[in-house]
Amino acid sequence: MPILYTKKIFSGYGDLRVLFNINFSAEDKKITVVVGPNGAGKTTLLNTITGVATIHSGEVVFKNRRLNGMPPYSIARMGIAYVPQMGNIFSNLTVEENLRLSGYFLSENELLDRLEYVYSMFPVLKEFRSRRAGTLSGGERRMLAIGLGLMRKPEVMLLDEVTTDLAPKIVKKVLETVVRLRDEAKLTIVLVEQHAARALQIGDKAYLLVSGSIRYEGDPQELLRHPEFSKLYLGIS
Amino acid sequence: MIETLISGITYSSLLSLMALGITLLYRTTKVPNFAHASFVVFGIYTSYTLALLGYNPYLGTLLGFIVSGIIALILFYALLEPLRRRKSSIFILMMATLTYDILMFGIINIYADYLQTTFKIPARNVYLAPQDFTLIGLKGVTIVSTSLLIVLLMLLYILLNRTIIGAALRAVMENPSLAQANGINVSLMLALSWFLAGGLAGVAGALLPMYMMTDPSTGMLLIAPMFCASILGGLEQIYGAPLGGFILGLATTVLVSWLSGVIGYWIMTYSLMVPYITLIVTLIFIPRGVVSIILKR
Repeated sequence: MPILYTKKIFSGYGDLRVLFNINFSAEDKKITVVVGPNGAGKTTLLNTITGVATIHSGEVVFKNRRLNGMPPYSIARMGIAYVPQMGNIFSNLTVEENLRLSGYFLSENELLDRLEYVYSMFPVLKEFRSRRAGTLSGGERRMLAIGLGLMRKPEVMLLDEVTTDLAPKIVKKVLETVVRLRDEAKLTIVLVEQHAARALQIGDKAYLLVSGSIRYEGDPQELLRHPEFSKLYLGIS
Repeated sequence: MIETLISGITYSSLLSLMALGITLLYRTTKVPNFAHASFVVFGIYTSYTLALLGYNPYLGTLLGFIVSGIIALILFYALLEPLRRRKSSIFILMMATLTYDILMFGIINIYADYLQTTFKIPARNVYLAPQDFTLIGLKGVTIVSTSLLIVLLMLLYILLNRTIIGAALRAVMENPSLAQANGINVSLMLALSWFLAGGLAGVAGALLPMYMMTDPSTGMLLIAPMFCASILGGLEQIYGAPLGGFILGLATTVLVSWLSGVIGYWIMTYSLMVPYITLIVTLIFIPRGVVSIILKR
């Protein structure tokens, strides 16, 4: 049973339509990978779920509750954590201020619990807790961005291009973290990636999104062999 | 000379309170707020009305904070928030603040005319300095404006840096969409910043009639110095506003007074040009404000 799904979604920004008839679902405690070329509408899919994009028709459902029309901050408080691709940390605040802010509607005890949890997940953040977040390295920033999402004890985490612009070694580390989020933190993950191959290796289910429509839904390994995928990513026609 | 300096400090404190709101709003909503002129004038007429009713006009600082805060909130919820939701450009938002300012200017004029015709009082020339008190040789308005500036700055510092609401406000200043994704009600935080900015302008306005002759158009006269102080200090740092307020305030009063002794009294006529000259020089040489020089060190 999917914890989060969209039904016949047409959405975009204002009058501009980006997504066409999207039936997407994320299975509970699994990693769902969404791949596709630049401009396919991957980020818009996440924006539709989080209430940022305009839904023209269709519905978004999380734990049997319709999310259409809800403000983004309410959706964030319901247990959906969103880690955007750009500007995903508050650079002028310290690491700990970032984390505290993300959990600002938790009680003090809960907040401390979550802080400890995030620090145990990412010890490097504890070490740099008083440092201004803007001074962290690329990999550390991603850890902090994921940490921000974790503070609210979410059930679903939406990760947008979380490995982009990172060195291969760091990419591996970040993807290992994503797997840990599923296995240890028992989270449902939606992983949006432009660089598909390595993300598909850790996925339980995959979608291929092209020009705002779903072209493939199913096993990630099979997608790697899908003709459309080869065409888009390897230039083989 | 000492008298001019004290007068300059009073003016600078009032200017700082006004500029503080402009910087705050620029940081949160990214809008240059022209309606700040009206927020100030509502403060003026709040303390004037209290004085007419026989109360101490200094009570107007508290009431003026609330009245102008509410006037600012109305602007935010009636015009800016609907426009922001429609993703209107900053230019449109800025024009909306100007429109609102003209509307409020009309309302204040109606109120002044009403007082004047109904009660036969000179409500178009508001001057409360004769009612002011003196303490150890200092005018009340000097003591109150400087101490209120210090207290309000400290409270603002505590709010922004020591409370979770302040952290949320800073988050909204830095990255509204990420703040939203982290469960922060951005609209509510923006509303708070408008209330605070309006309130600060109201406090300054409430004190103005104790310092100078005011009328419904005083806000329009002061809007240029307000913006100038805010830009001179640096729009990227809230505490740049009082810095800009003091540099500009003292330049307008003390510097011009000193120059009049050196060059001649005719220069006094041109004191209104000080903000504009300062603004041009700032924009060309230190576009990020004086505070950027200090922070670099």
